[in-house]
Amino acid sequence: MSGAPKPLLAVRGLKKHFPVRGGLLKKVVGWVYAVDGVSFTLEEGDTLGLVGESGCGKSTLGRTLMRLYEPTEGAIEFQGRDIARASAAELMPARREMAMIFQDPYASLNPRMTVSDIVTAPMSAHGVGTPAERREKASEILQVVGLRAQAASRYPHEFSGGQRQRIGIARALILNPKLVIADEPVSALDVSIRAQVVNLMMRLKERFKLTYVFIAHDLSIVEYISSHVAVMYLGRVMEKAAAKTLYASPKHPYTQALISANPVPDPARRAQKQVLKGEIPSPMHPPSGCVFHTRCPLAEERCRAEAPALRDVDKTGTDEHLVACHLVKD
Amino acid sequence: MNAHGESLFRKSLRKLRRDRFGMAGLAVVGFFGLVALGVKLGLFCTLAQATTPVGPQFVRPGAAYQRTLADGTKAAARSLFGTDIQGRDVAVKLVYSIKQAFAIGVIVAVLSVAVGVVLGCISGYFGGLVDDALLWLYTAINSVPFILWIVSISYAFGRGFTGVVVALAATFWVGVYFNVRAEVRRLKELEFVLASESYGASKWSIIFRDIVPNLSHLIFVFLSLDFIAAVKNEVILSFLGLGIAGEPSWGVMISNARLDLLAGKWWEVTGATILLFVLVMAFNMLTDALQDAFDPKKVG
Repeated sequence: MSGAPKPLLAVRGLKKHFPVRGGLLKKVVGWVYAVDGVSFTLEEGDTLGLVGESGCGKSTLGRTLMRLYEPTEGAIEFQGRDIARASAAELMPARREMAMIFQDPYASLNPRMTVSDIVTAPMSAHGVGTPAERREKASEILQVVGLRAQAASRYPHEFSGGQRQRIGIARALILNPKLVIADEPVSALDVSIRAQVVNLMMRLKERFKLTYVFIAHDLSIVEYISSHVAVMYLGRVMEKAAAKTLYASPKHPYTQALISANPVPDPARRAQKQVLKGEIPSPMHPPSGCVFHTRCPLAEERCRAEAPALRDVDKTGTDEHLVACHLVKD
Repeated sequence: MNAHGESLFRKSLRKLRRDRFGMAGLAVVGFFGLVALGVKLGLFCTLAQATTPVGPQFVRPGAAYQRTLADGTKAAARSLFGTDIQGRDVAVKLVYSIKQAFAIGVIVAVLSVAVGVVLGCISGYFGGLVDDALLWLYTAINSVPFILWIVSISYAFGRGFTGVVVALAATFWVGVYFNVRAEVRRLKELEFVLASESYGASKWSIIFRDIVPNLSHLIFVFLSLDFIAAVKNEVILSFLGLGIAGEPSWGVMISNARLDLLAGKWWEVTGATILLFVLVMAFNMLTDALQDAFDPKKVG
């Protein structure tokens, strides 16, 4: 890795545990281990797809990266500076460089504000531009995301879900950020609209030289948009590799099961479908050893006792292929 | 059909205008309000007129009697709504009391909603120790029947207008507080508030731009509800002898006339009760319409 450019984002051992309070005095009676030791790096210009079943901690991870949640432990190095413990004031420069796109286009726009005020709110927060300049920038960015400039004077309730998501994207891009974290940006949209929004995001990535963290549970969309994919299960990364490698030769039993469960228009492949048994264990009481052992078809004694580390099993030497499984041979 | 660029607020107003019951309620409330304003400005039914005897006691409504005019001379007149035990004109007292009701209703509603919204926002948004302390205060006030608070606070302040207003506002804010707090807690988890946090908007900007404008439905409904509750509670306080002193009000009239009723002198109690009923009814209709029109789940 020497000589390689510094990654835009490097996450090391990131944990986010939520206290569970109970009783009259609201004592902490347990913890939800939503994100439990996640590490990865993201190079500028890449798109990291984060996939996993609902409840695996991928949205919590995204929100913790944005410091919407306080990390319990670990480091978030953004442009070489650790922002995991930065104060609100110290965070402000980073907040200009990273932006978030949210899942629910009906909840992510303030219904009482005009579209112009919504998309320029980041400018106001950072004291960028005069009111006239902001208005001008608003109509410009709205056209970039495929809306008409006149949309600026309207209110969110006058738009459809897909249009609202474009407004959310415009707001995320108005300060020209480097990193955009998209938290299931298309899963609340009609299937017919999804491709439009994903294509828009890919065009914007080229135009503004963006780096994406793309959180989703739809494997096909992640395969389409991502350069790298990380598979999460119970707050941990199970496997991370270049998207092509991961989809072509998944190593982890969980990834294999996920990919085989994804519908593919090929009757020949239907026969090989692996179906996972059981439910995701509660993140309040994660299993010992490998967290996946309760549902893994291959689990051995060692898996129950010892948590596997994430290690590189790539043989070609081109890119890393990280897997957290005892049973995958180097 | 819809104008482009119409805010939710305007949309709600448009919806309110189409609500017939609501508009009827608003018309009645508006009429009472104008009368109250006229009395306040001294245009008619002044305090002096409402407290000076104009003829013999207990003149029946509609009966002919010798009316004492302002210059002391007497003239034959027909009574509009009778006189009370001291010979004062009941109709004048009833109209004067509209001003009393509005003064108490408006002041109590504005005070209790202002205090409730400010504390509810602080409690709901910041959480932590402040929230614990305010919630404890809410529980403490709420665990004693309201009427006991109202009676003891107004007793402590002494009989009169100020005592009534302080007692009512000091107990009514808790209902506003608790509902606002719950709504703020819901709002602050919504993605548009997270979005504001994600680009580093200040806490005050989040409270004033994201949260307070989305509380308008609660604010309108509680202004209306607390107005009604204040007017009704003034009657109860005055009936118990803890309300307004030295001036007529519906509560004082009902309280004074409860013995008259046994003697068959029904008009003072009836007049006050009917006006109270009409005003409260109209306000209830308006409240329902406001609730329908401004509920964010029904507009959109």
